[in-house]
Amino acid sequence: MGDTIKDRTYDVIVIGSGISGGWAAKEFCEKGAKTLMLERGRDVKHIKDYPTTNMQPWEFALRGNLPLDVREANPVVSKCYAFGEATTQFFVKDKEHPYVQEKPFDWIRGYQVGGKSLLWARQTQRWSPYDFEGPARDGYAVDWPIRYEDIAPWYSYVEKFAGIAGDKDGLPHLPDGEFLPGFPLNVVEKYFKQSVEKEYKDRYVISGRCAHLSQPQQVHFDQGRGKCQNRTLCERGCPFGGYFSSNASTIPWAAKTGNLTLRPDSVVHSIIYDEQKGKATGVRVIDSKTKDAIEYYAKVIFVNAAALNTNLILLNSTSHRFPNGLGNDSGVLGKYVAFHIYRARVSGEYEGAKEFTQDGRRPTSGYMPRFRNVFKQETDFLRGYAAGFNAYRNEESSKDGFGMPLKESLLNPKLQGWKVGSHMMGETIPKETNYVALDNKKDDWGMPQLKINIDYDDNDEKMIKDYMEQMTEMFQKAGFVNVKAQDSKQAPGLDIHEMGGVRMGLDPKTSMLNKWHQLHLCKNVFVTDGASMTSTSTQNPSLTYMAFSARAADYAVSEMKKGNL
Amino acid sequence: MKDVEDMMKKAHNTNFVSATPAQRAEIVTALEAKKASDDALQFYKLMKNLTIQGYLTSKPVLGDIFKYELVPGRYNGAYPVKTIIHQA
Repeated sequence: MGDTIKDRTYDVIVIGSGISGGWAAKEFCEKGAKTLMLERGRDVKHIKDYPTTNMQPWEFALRGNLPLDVREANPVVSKCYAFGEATTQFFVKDKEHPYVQEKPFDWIRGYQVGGKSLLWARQTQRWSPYDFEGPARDGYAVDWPIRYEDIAPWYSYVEKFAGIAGDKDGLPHLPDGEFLPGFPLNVVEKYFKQSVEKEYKDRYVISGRCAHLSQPQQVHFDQGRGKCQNRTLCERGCPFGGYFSSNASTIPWAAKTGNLTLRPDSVVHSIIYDEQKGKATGVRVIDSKTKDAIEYYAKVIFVNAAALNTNLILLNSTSHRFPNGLGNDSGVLGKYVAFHIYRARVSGEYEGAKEFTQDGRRPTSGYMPRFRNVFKQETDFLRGYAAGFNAYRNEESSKDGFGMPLKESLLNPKLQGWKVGSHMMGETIPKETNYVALDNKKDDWGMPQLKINIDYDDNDEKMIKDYMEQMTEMFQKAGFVNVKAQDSKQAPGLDIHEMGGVRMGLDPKTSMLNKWHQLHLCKNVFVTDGASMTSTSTQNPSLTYMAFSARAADYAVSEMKKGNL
Repeated sequence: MKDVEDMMKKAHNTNFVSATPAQRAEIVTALEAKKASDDALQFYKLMKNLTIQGYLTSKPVLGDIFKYELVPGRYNGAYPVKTIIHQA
């Protein structure tokens, strides 16, 4: 990479190489745009840079555990279910990237090429018309400037390339997609499905749709990916490319075109705004290793740094025209941040199906789409929750005693009865009082630290109570015993579904982005990651971010061809 | 750990590692019966759990006896119980 202004000028700059940035870069490169993809973290090449992926359990010095000093030094990320001896290399460590919790918030991040697309749970569901219409119908947030019909073709487009496994369930509030065969529910999950669908007329238990290649198609083989092998070691990175990540899929595809320049170790400080031209002209980068400041230029900039980091960059992009952050005349930037409620679980046991157990492993289990307030408002809280449902059976040994009797017991475990469990994924209402902002403290690269002020509200508490009551009732009707409902009271953040702050909307006075994800007041800057979300609904959001990115990139290219950008 | 060593010193005037198997069994029996200080019991519980975990995830046990598969390539959610010996 040379050093002249011309060397540092591209058609498009994509900030971030995670699940949404990877898609933006792929689309731009395929359509002939010279694209610079900036990633603040280090490079992670598919397979080559997955150091733990083929390690057996006994090859780990601590057998998967983390040392006490690592746990004590990382109180936030240690709470994440996926953070363990096999995966620490892909998680941000607390001390390296401090932030300010004005209210408790566990901010889980992955700063490397591929971002959290290496670590995500790979659950994928489409939004439905009832989700896009939510704010307008129920009178919260602002109206989305788009509807399901606008995004449906783009869901199809990204599903085919990424590879999404699922069943055609025929539910209007959870539309079917372009599916590879779904992973079947196990015997007890099928039993629970029968019970729920018999006892309730509008509740369903389905196979969790997921970004795994149950039956790869030619497009997947062309990506160099193969069939999912049911290892369930996904967060290590998959040597089969069995699940979708930027590393396995969109980035190599973009690179194949010859139009991609990937620059890792590049912290984006701010977007350069030219007041005379009335548009952005590039980005200021701080090399994460040398701390040198470098400018890159482009006609179009896509900000895909992950929800809160995108907010941070835009807030930090101040100028005479935009003293409060790029495009922020409205004062809305950084506000109306929301998340998913993941506080509650219900567990139980099933005394039936004694003649069956499980053999092997699988990357998904059961899913219950939202059933509250779907077609009309019915409860004393707005919106609702989806739920996971999972049944499993394992062997256990008594651990009493020591010496030979203990050894005999451990080597002869007994098959236990079936256990069942559910977890809640609740929609939260975006509010002005849930926000992120710039702190006065700086990080090691001279960027302001992010101040996070997000909390639960009364609607959330009512919803949690309802989930615990309803799931308990459904478990009891199915004959499950020893049913226990628990509220962990955890802080927001461990859902890792924080969204908003740069919301889409019809009115530039109450929103930041138009229907094409362009900043209302700076049309050559686009945001298609979680920051763009006007409301959260209940679905795992990554599939929607992929569809948003592909659609907006397509629009940006057509605008560039017309000379409008 | 210090409390456990104190127990051994009091009983047999030696430390745990230097004690005979019979002497060690005596101290461990007391710990199993919860006849020890809170600190000793807490140490014993942690040490025992980690030892068991280490044993159950070792190659001879998890690999050779329970036949853990890194790459199962399958899932059967209605597998007849009588056909299994052990699950890994």
